[in-house]
Amino acid sequence: MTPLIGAGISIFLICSLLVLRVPMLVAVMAGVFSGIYFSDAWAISLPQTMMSGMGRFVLIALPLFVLAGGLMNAGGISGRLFDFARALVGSLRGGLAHVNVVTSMFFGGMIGSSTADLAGTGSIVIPAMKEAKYPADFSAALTASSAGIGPMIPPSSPMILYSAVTGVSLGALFLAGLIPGLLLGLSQMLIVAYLARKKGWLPFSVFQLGDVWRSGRRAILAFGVPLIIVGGMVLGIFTPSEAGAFAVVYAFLISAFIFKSLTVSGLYRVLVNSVQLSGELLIIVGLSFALGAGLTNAHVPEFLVRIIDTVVIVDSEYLRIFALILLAIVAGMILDPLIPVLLPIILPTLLAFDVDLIHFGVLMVIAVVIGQVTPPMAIALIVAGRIANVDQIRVLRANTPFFIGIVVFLLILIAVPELSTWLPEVARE
Amino acid sequence: MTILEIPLKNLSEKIGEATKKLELVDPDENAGLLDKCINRFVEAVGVSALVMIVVVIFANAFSRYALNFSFSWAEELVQMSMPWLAMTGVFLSVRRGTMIKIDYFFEKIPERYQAAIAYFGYSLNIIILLSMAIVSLDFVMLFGGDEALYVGLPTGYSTSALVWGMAGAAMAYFAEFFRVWRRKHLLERRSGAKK
Repeated sequence: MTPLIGAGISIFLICSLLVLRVPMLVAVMAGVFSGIYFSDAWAISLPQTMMSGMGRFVLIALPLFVLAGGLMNAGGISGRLFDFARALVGSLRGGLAHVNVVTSMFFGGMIGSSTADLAGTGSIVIPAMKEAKYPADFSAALTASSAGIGPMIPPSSPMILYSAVTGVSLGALFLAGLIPGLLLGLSQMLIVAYLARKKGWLPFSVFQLGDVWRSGRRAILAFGVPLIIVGGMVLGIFTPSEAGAFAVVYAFLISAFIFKSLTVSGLYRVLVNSVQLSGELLIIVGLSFALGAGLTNAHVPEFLVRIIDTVVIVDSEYLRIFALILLAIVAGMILDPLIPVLLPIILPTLLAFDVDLIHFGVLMVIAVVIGQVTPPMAIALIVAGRIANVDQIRVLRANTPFFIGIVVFLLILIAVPELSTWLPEVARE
Repeated sequence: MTILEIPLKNLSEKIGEATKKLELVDPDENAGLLDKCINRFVEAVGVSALVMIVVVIFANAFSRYALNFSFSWAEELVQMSMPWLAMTGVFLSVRRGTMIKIDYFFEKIPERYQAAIAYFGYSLNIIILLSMAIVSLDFVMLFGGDEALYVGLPTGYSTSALVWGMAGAAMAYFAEFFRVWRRKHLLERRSGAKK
């Protein structure tokens, strides 16, 4: 049997096991084991590769960023962010919908599980939108789509995973995601504004500078976490893990002594959640290194290059990137987390095509976001639909304008890479 | 312009409380005493690893800036703690049923086949995780005696987390498999007795 067929069987095995509801960790592990079997490799190399993958210093930042976000959440920061967003954009037509989007943009600075954040904030915002006579399916679709802004705005866990697998600077990636993240939020607000005018949705509050000042003062401490992380890394003061440790200490001091809403048992629970949230991801990343090594030995990347060169007839970098992102989007409809599973397969192909890895990193995060609102998985739509008590198909239909919006946005981002690469280049200079 | 006239007062407070509640809920609230004890013990190991990582990184960075001095062993100690953090996280995820998996396709399978597929899944999880534990044990036996350069401890202190974690996760799946099988068996016996 050729190594390529062996690799094909491994990938098929992973996909089949995932379909049968086998946990992703076990499915990937089974795929790696089968790869070892077909290539006659030494099984003992697996724990060694896993350990070196997990030991990447940038990956240590993941549990620390999750912990900092958890501490801020436990301090009740989401309410303050919502209040600030209300004061800023609540006076626009369809104010509550705008507030929903802006809160998600603010919430992007607090890393964690986006589905858990969606469940927390959505459980109050969606019923409130329904109460304010917004259609239930629209409320669910908007909340699900706006939750996707979070992974784009730094600090972002998909970006940490991308940086760990590719070795690209995390600070540069965070900067690269900033403008696209803000533009994505803005595009959703434009869609809301159009619908609000068409359907006559009312503002949520009156704009008052005093209100903005008051709520802004209450929320400003929340922005310290992303500021420490991104600012510290970009200015070269901290490494990613140091930025994470300082953000944790900051978040702890704020929640415990300024907001006074963190008890000892609460702190313990937040610590446990962070361990639980990051543990599985860390092991999957470790395994992804073993998977990547196996597939590279089986010449899968060369095979992928040949396929893309056959499909993309015109010699165009944009079309090649488009083909690779299309592959990522299709995989993202099923896989979550997408990055550590798919990236080891396509990374050598990206290097062969000389693709800008920072630009591609931002595109990959958008592929993750699209996967969260696209069937069959559509986890964000499912969670939001359940909260709104609406049939999934209706939510999916209501999400059409936002889905078209994000796809158009992705195409623009492929065509204009400067939208993501400009800020990291300025910082480098 | 007219403004919404609906009772949306205290919305921000409600959102703050909802997110806080979600963050602070104890997943073992309804668990039995033995389950609670096991989970609490593993939680303590994971939390200790995480706290140590935070303290060591913070202290190292702080002393580097404030005292122009850094601990040579800091990076190595943090890297040695990571496998413990990861493995305790995996164990707790298995125990609490929060492992990442795809439910969509499984739910589309006819109900009469679902139990068999679930049993197959449990068996496979146990076999794969135990195999990984055995391979990891070989790895620890071979290289676990090597001393870490700065910390001076055998690397086996760190790498053995893989053995404990994988074996623990396999056992957790075995316990879950047994629990599900027993529940089904009891239900069948009860429905048989009624007939």
